[in-house]
Amino acid sequence: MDIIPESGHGLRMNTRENSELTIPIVTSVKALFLYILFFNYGFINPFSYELPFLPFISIFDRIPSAIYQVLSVILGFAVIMPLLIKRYYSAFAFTSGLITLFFILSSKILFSNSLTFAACFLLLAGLYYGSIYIFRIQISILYVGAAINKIFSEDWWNGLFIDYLLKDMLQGSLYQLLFPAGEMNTAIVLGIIVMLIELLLGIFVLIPKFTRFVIVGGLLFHGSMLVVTAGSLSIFFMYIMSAAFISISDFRPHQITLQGGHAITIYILTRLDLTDTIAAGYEIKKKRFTIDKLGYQFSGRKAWLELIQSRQFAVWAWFMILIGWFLIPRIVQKVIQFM
Amino acid sequence: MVTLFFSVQLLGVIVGRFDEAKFFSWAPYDQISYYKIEAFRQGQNLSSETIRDRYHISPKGRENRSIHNIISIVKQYENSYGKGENVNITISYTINGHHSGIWTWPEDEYKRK
Repeated sequence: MDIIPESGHGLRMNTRENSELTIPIVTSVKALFLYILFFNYGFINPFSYELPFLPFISIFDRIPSAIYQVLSVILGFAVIMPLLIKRYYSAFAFTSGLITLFFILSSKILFSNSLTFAACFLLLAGLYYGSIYIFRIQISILYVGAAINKIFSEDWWNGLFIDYLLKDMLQGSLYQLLFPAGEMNTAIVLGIIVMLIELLLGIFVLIPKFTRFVIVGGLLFHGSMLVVTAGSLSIFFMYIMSAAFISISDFRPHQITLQGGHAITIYILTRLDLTDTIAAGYEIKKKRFTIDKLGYQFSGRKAWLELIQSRQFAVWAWFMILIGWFLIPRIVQKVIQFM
Repeated sequence: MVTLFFSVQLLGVIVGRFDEAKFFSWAPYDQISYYKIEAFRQGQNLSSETIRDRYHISPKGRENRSIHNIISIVKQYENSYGKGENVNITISYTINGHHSGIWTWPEDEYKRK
């Protein structure tokens, strides 16, 4: 058996020593740093085109492009550094949120609801003062706002939007199978269900005892949107809402301490961890890779297996799947074009 | 400060009731539009690349938010950076597959197809 009760000697945790945010909030913030980095940084980057460009506030047109270039570098620094140094999350979240909002205000081209939400969320994480209610209110405003806009749209009540969305997304026989020509009742019902879900999510997220219901309901809602639209719609929202839901959850994975093995392996594993609950131990005598979890030690292959079965890995894998889902087809396309 | 931050967002939702572009009113995927931008300068048709370079948006495609987002971008460009260039623009669009229309510049007029 590889499982040996932990002696406790020679172990020191080195995570979260300087973190002023809770584990769920750190996880959300780190996921959003990755969101900015992988989904938006290439677009925000003013080296691809000059900012300001068609700003929402006309006076921004007078700000020199050089300022944006400097801010872009700071933004890149602000989303990468906390992932590497694992501290000062509040300051980096505030900085990246503020710069991203400033960039959005500086160009109508950059505007997207998901990026704006991510920026608002990061800004709030920077302003966090101990109450997660600020995140609940932010999520509520998003869902209630989305519901209100749909409620006042005629096309959402007469089924035109849903009918067209599905016709557009599910071209051909699948659509014909699900929705015979002229059949609008299903589209009307689906439209009303979507409005109702958004409204209920927006209301219930404010009530802590419904948190689990909101998270499960919200993920099912965004997940079903992804399935129905064959992954072409709402991938960004699935990502940012997954990150946002973690912040209001009681997500608290068990601490894992890594021992032995190659230093580079330990470094990479602790940096990939979005939850800040995987720590490098100080027991350097061990040569074999070992992890300490819940008072037990696992070595070699069992250690890796235990890591893969951990909540930390599940969270990391979830966000990586979403990033890969979006990025891999684009990278492949670029490579094919290049060839 | 947090209260002010949320108040601004709520104001955005309220303003969105009266503003067709709905930029900051949390209105994702409210309508799907297909559009095509055509632009003429001194009788010459501007190419797709020129239109893309000019507005930084695709000259034709799908818009997952209000079509007025696209119109707002083109209109602001022509009112600012492109002022005096005498470019004539037509944006033809179909909203949710049913409502078709045309927006023209410099008239800044909407016509139903």
